[in-house]
Amino acid sequence: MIHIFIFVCCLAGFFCLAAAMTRHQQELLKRKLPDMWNRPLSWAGYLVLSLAFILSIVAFGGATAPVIWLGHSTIAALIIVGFLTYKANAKPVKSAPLRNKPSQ
Amino acid sequence: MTIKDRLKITMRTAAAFIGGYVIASLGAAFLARFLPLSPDQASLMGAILSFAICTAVVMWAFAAQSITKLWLSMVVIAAMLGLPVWWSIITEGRL
Amino acid sequence: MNTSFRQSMAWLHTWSGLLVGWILFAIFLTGTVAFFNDEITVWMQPELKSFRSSEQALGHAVRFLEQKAPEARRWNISLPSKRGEGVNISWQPEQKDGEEPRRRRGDRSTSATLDDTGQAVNVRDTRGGNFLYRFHFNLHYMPVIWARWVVGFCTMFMLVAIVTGIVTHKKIFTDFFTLRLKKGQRSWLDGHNVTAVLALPFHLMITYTGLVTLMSLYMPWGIAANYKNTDSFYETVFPRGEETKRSGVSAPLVPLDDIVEKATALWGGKAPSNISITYPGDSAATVDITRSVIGELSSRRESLTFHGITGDLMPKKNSSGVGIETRNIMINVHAGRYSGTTLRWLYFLSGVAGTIMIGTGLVLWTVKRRQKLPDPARPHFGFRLIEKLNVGTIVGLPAGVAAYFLANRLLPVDMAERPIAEIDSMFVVWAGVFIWAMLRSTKRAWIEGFVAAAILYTAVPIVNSVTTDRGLLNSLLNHDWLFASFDITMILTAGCFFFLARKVQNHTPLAKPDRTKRNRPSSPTPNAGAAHIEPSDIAGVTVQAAALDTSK
Repeated sequence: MIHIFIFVCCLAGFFCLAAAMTRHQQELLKRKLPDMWNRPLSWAGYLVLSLAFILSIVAFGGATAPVIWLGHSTIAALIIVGFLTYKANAKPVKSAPLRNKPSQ
Repeated sequence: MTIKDRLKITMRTAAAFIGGYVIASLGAAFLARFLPLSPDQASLMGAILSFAICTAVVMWAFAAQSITKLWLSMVVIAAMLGLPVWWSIITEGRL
Repeated sequence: MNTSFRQSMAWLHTWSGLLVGWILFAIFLTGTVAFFNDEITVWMQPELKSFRSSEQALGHAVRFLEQKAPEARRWNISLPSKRGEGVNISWQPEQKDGEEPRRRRGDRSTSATLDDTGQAVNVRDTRGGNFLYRFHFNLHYMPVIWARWVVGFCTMFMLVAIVTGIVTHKKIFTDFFTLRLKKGQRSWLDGHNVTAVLALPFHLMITYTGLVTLMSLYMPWGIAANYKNTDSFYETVFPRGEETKRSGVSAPLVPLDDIVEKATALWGGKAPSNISITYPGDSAATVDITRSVIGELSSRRESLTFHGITGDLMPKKNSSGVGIETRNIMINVHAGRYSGTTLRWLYFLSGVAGTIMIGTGLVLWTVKRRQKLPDPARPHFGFRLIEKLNVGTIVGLPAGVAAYFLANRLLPVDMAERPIAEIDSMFVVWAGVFIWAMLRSTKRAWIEGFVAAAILYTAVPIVNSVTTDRGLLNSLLNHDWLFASFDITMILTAGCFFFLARKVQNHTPLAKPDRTKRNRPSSPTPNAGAAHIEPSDIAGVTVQAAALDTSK
């Protein structure tokens, strides 16, 4: 149960961190946010991630907690990446910065 | 790639392999002798930390500008680590 | 300094990664699977059904041993934990002069597995998950020490590749979540980066601690600096206690349940996992009892020694200190033995990410260079070889693992040398994929290899349900989660391989129209602005890095 808590916190944390980056807002929130939102969102992200870390320390003690937290945050971040990729792929977004040479 | 370039790559690779392992080993021995811990614990710490030393030396071997300087510095570092170890083993002996 | 440093690091990353990438892929894959080695062993011995109570099990084990090996030098009883099932017992006969001690695990003449009722079960002979675990650092078909040096060498390369990868990856935070698909080389690079960056703490940890697990082999010089004789070091760090001698006077063994009770109380309620009795039936008997490691990160498997007749605790000093603690934590974190089911899955998934990182890295090497070839349709020998090795390893090994599981179910149960035949079938399939890859065009080889692997993985649960009564449906109905998750994992793996096969099938090389323009290998990188890895990482880098000296 506590694992689910920690995992959800990590997921929420990375969601906020991704939402704080202009290039990902389209896929994540379906619109661009004003730039002034970026900073508070990233702070929220770090805060929730720290919360997850504190939760795992409380639940598992100092020795095991970092390992468990890292495990959950790794998988959570991979899920966010998967989600972003899926969204971006489902409907090609023009606004994504075209960094490659167009290769037709 | 000219012969000269190949030779340089070989020299760097050799420096990375030989220098990496030798300096890491001497570093492990140095830490084992001089860390302020009991001999058994210091021996373990030395071995544990030696892999970080090895990584650093390998990266250095490929990043350094001059190969001659690289080899010279490696010899100097090896001596700086090895001589105190040698001296302390001579004077204080081993368990 | 900055640019050239990054360039040389990119060069080092590329080549150190490529040189040992295939072995690293095998090490990572089998290591990832080995997080579940006990579970795999259970799955590979379907004759064993689960246990109810461990107290009962202990009584059964002692009765069995008293009958079977009353004269033994040592009895060993492994109690069922949450992870394994069944009581494994083994005994060590009194050694005759000049006889080599027999220590091979799972030798059926000196070991047995007991079921619920205390009867020895005729389980199929298999190395189970332990083979994959051992392959992870001992490889196979070669002397163990050589293999460990090879593995250590590759792991050191991995460590260098990781650190240089960090240095090289400029936009580590901006690209944190970025995975662009359908962009050819870009996608491979993103895939490599995403799996590398997100699981970076895991990769660094697993690589470094991996070196530490075998450091007495790789780096004995720390010990040599302080001790003339390594044995005296080991005696200090891992004291074995006093060697007892057989007295020759027979005496009844103390009831083991009492000892388990005492030990559990001393450990604050932690359960024992292993009990071994030296000189059973003799008045000098001792009982060593080892704590289960589940949930314990920092300490070495703590063990207590009791007198075998009186049941008194015998004094023993365990060494402690920052060095041994660091080492133990590192080894435990590496193997994840302390972890419960959830954490074990997290380990497994991170390991999968690492395996994907190495796989994408290997493919990236060819994708990057294909466009730069003088004639991309007819690459030179070295390039083709690397492509074939990629297919053979990235597809062949997983297919081989599936074959290993299939062989476990399909080979006759009473076959002689059965474990060896199981292992051989893994390598036969692996070699088969290699040969197939050599014969076919690279793209066809990828597709057909993925499909073959997918079919093999699909076959595992099917064959399991046909040859045993513990198929997926039954395990779900009986709440046999271990068997159920194993089968489901097989199905999911098969799904992934089918998906990959389709992806490769539908893939049309994006860069085709560009090729004519990029004919000259000397031309600077086409997407310099976008590259995470500096331009130097592409084709001409060898020359650039080599020329570093001349440029200054």
